[in-house]
Amino acid sequence: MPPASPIERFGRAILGILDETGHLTLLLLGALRWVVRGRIEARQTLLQMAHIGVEALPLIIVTGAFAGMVLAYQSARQLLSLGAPGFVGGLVAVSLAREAAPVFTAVTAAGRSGAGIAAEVGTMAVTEQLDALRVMATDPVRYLVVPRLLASLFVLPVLTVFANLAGLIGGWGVAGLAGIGTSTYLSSVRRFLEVSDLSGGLVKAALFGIIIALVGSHRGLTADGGAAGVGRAATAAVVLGIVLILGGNYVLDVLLF
Amino acid sequence: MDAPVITVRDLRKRLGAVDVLRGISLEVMPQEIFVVMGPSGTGKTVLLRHLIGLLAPDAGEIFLWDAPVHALRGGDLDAVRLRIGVVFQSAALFDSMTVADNVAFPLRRHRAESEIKIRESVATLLDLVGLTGAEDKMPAMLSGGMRKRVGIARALALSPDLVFYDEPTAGLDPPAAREVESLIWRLRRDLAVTSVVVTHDLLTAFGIGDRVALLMDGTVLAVGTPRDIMADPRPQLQEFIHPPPVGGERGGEG
Repeated sequence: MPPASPIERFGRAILGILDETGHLTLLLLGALRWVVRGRIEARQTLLQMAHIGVEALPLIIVTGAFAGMVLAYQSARQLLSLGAPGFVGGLVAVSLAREAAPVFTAVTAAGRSGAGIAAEVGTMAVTEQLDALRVMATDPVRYLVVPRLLASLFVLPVLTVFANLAGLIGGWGVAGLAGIGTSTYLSSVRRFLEVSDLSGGLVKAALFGIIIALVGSHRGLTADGGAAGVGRAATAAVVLGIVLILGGNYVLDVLLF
Repeated sequence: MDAPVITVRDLRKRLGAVDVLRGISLEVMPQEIFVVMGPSGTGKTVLLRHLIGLLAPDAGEIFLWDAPVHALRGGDLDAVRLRIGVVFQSAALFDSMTVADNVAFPLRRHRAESEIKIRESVATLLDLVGLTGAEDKMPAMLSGGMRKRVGIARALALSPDLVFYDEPTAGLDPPAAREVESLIWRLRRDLAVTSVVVTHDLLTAFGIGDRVALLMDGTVLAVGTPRDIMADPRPQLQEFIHPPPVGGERGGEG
């Protein structure tokens, strides 16, 4: 076979993306069918909430705090030179609420939980455990995917709230070092931050949660080829998850704000 | 005469560029131990996956009792699956659960029983496979033979009428393999289940099979009692049963 031309490769990549989107949509519909029928595994869902949410909290707080610190550092440098310290708190808060908190939270969760879901489900796929579920009249989508999807959907916004708080505190610390007082910082936050900034960010986070769980589950369900296959599934889940989160973030920005 | 438990008619399956199953027909009668034997790569496992509804055929029919498994999906397929048990080659135990939770899994999902009743059932099942007291062990702590027996206990949890064993003795040392064989034999005797055993192991096939089907290149080369198969003079068959020794004939020197 001759090597593929760039156009051919581009075409294949596009087809691959469409194929993937189709599979993810089908998986989402399959999962929603169980949700609509009320067949939700409460215990599994709570377990996944603990995995994806509670256990990720320290990492999310650290990520959020650094995001707030960087935002405060950069904006303080610029705005102080313009003599406008009263904008720093607002800039940090709005940037966090709309962009930094949901995106950083989602990317962190994709690296942590998306890979985890793909590896766990993928291991079950290559060791016949998914087949065992099926022959025991248990649909893996119902038993494995729905709990992860619901947990991720509900937990990502909660994590994002914590990222916002941690970011605001981190930003306050850095702003303080730059000579901006607490009252200036807080009144600026109150003046510029709207509820819609926060709620828009949380809507984003929920959608990112769906992406993370779906991509991880799909990669896991279709894993083959032993341990190497599980590794590939986990890597692909992270790469694809992050690409979809960042791409989706742009689309959502246009729609929401 | 009783109706067959399994009826397969002209089953065909192509995977990639390979015709894996090329027109398989067979019948399994109630309470017999039916062995599907053949060298590796002849489609034994692919056949098994069709019988339990994990693969759909390109052509042909599969009936478990009177249910057309080849055409069933979703809830209808699940209804048939509740009557069968499957023991996977790797045992396929859920490695995040204890032995007891593995065995209890089908009970918790499909029987509305109290936790006390379920625990009693688990103890009975583990006793049946000779693993009393292993309830709280994790699968990773068990030997291959023990994992296989836990897999058997789990497959029997819903009191199936039909049990499938995929390579039940593969990867086991000879004593453990003989133990699993005698367990399969005892279960048939005590529980009156129909058993389908897929294996490449001649000892297993001829040791426990009431009837044996020899699969070669995606077709059934012969079906019969172990005695019939051994007496079949066809060279392909004899070559599988009595493979020539590695390095040619021995005993010429000395």
